[in-house]
Amino acid sequence: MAILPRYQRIGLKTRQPQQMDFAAAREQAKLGQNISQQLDRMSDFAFKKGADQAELRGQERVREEGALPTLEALQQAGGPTTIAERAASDAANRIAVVEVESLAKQDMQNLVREADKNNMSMTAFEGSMADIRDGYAASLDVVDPVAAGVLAARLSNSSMTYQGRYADIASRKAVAAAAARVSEIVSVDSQVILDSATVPGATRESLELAGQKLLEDQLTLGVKEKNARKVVDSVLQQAIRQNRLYLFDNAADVEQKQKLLNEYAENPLPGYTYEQNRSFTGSLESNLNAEVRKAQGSALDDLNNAMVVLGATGSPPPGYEFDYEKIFGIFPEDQAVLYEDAWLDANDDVLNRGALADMPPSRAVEISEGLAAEIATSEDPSKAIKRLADWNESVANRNDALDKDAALFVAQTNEGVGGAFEAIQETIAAGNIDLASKMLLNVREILLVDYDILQVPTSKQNIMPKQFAGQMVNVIQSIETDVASETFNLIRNRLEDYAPQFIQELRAQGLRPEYVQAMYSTNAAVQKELLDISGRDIKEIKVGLESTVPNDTKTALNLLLEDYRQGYLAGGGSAAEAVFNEQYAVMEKLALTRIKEQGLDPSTAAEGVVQDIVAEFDQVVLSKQGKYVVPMEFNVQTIEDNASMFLNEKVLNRLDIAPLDSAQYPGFVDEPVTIASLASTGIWLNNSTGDGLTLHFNVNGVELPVLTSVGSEYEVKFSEMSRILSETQEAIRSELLVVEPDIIERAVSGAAALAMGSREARSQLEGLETELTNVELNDPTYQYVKDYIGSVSSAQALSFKLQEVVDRGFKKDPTKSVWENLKAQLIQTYERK
Amino acid sequence: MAAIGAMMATGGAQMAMGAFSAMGQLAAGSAQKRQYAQQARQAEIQGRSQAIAYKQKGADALRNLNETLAAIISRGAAGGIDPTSGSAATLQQYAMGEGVREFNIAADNAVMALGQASTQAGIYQSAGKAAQLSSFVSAAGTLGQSAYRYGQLQ
Repeated sequence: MAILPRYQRIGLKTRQPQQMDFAAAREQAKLGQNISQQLDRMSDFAFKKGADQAELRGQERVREEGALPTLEALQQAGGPTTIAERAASDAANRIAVVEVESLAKQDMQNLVREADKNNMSMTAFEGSMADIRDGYAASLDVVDPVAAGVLAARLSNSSMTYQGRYADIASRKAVAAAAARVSEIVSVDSQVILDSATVPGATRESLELAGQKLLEDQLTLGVKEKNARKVVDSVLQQAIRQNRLYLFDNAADVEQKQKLLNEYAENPLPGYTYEQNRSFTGSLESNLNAEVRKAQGSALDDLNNAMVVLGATGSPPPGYEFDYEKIFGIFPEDQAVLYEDAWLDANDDVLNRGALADMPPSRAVEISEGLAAEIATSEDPSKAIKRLADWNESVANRNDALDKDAALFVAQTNEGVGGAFEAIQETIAAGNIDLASKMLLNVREILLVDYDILQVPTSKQNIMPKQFAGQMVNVIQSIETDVASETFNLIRNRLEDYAPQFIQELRAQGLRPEYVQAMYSTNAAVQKELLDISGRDIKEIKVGLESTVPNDTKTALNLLLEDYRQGYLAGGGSAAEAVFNEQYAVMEKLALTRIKEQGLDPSTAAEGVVQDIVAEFDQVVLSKQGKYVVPMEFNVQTIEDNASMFLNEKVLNRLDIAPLDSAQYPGFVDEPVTIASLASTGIWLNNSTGDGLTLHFNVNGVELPVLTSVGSEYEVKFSEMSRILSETQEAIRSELLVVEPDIIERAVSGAAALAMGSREARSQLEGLETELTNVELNDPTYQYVKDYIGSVSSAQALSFKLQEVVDRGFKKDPTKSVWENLKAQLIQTYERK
Repeated sequence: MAAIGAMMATGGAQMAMGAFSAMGQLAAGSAQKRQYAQQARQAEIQGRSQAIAYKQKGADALRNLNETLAAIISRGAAGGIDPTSGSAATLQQYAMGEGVREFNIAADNAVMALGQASTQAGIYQSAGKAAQLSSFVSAAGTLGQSAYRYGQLQ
């Protein structure tokens, strides 16, 4: 049988699924992871950012709320939970520790200082330090125990440091205190020895005994022997030196001192070198010599002073006696004899010459000349020269004192006057102005007599010593405003004619300008106004006024015061200018006050004020012969006429007028030329005090004061002008009788004829003028006539001139009737014409 | 060196370096995507290759079948056996069954190989996209980090 093949498999099997590479899933997973990672990163960023901000918020909170409050708040909230709170907690902890530690250290430092200052005991200090340390640590323990622990450790270190420091301080103090105690004991004991060296009975032996005791005391106190001995030696060295000085200074006399010096030279100071001992004794010798010189100087000063006082007052100073024993003790005998002679001479001189205090200048000159003459005949010319020099110096000193303060000089040299001023002061202090014024007038009488004797220039004749016047200023200015007017009037009335000078003397010593004017014023209302404004400043018064008012007021015042100013300033120089400026300032203040308070216009106010303050503003003379202001109590015309009549050669010849300085003005070399110049161009000006006139040359427009023979300005008080003129004319008239009266008649007739138009009269008068010129003219009448002849240009003028002659010069003249007839004749002739 | 260090520490340098890093990450993502694309193509090629091999196997099975059938018929005829009946017919049926089964297996395997390759290629394409997307995310993260650092250093 055939074998049939069977189908043989090729072995093909169903394919098994191959392992897939799930890359997508893997990548998806990676993508997921990546996304997750990136989101994590972003989340981290955001978180870190948020954490940072939270930290900042936490720190900000600490800054705003403070460390401890923040910690306490967190503690109360159960501790920090958020990042911000943790950050706040961390920051607050750090800051709190530092803050608390700083406070604690501050307290520790304060404690050290306080303890140092109060010398606190170490135990007390440690207790206080522990309180600070524990207290501060405990304060933080509540909020942060960890921080509190750190703080406690730090504070413990600090407290140890400060304890150590204070221990050093306390130790140093204790050492210093102990040293100071020893030093003090030694110092006190040493001082006792030094003090005992300068008491009576102290000797070198007693001092050395005390020194031994000091040494033992020091050794007991624990001082090293070497140092203790050094101290004792030093103390004894000083003490013995002091003792010697003491003994020397308290020696009874120069001889005793010399004896001590010898002893010291033989027995040198212990512990001193030869040079030091030599210097010590040399110093004592110098002291001895200086003492002798000082005693000599003192005795000589006393003697000189006594001789000056003796010469000035006629008696030695109270209590002075020439101590013969002393003088001969301290001066060599020849010198002592000289001083004795000088004293005896001074006494003789006083007996022979009188006291310088009431000696007229002429007598002083006479004595001076006598002493000068003695030089030639004296056996001892040098002594005579000295006597002359001493005398001249005494006179110069007196004149200087009179020039500075004449009243003071008299008060010092005249016991009565000095006592009177003291009595016046007491009376014023008692408030009795009335009596004080009377007393002042009495003193014035005495002073004027003295001034007359001493020939003190009028301008220097102050009645009150300047210091006294200064006290019066204080009294015046302290018077209550309400009663001031009454008091001022009382003073002015009681002082009578001295009142103006009294006010000027006060003004010179600083009386306020308003008070000065108030004292011159008699109007109580004006006085009160002046006193009221005396304390006010003009700037204050101007406040509230329109800006033009001050200038308008000044303009109005200037207009009113123009003539017054010219006349016032012409004679007084800087003093008058000062017074005028004061018056002006017061008037300006018063005017502005009235404008402000009374609503016046500037013109009206100025007029009222000028009337009230310088009523004499229109009593002014401005002429060729004078520029001056006349006080209200005098008639301006009378004064002008009198002043004019002074400028007559006959009158001028009788006045005490010195020729102008020939060196500067050779043209005025002699008296006739000077008088002629004054008669033609002389000019009167106010004196510096406004109560009189001073005569001046007018040299080429320059006004030069006329001086008297004693060198003062020639001055005539208004009050004395008539008297002086009358006396002078009286004297002239007394000589008139010796002259042919018919000359006058001829002169007047001729003048009248000339005035009437007579052609021959001129030649007749010229002949008469020549005749008069050749005659020795001692009578001002002739000069008048001569002057009138030369100056008359009309009958009317002649009439007036003759009227003056009759009215002024010859009222008391026995020949008055002659003049009256002449005048009548002349007037009739003139009237006929 | 200190100057370079200081310059590197500035915010601008941080920002620039972050940008460069992001760009690198993007480039890496693109490269990986390209790699996956190539792997996908390779997988497809490999699948087709395997399918061809499986088709060859199916042809081999059919040839083996033909040879078996021919032998049965030829030998039965030679042996006087009716090739259409009896054992010859059975053997032929058997051979037909086995041969066809193997052929079908080969055909199924080829289909499977192609399908599997296609699936793998699809996976690789998806992986490439995912990788690129991942690089975008990384780059974004890097840029974000750089911006943060820049902000911190300003």
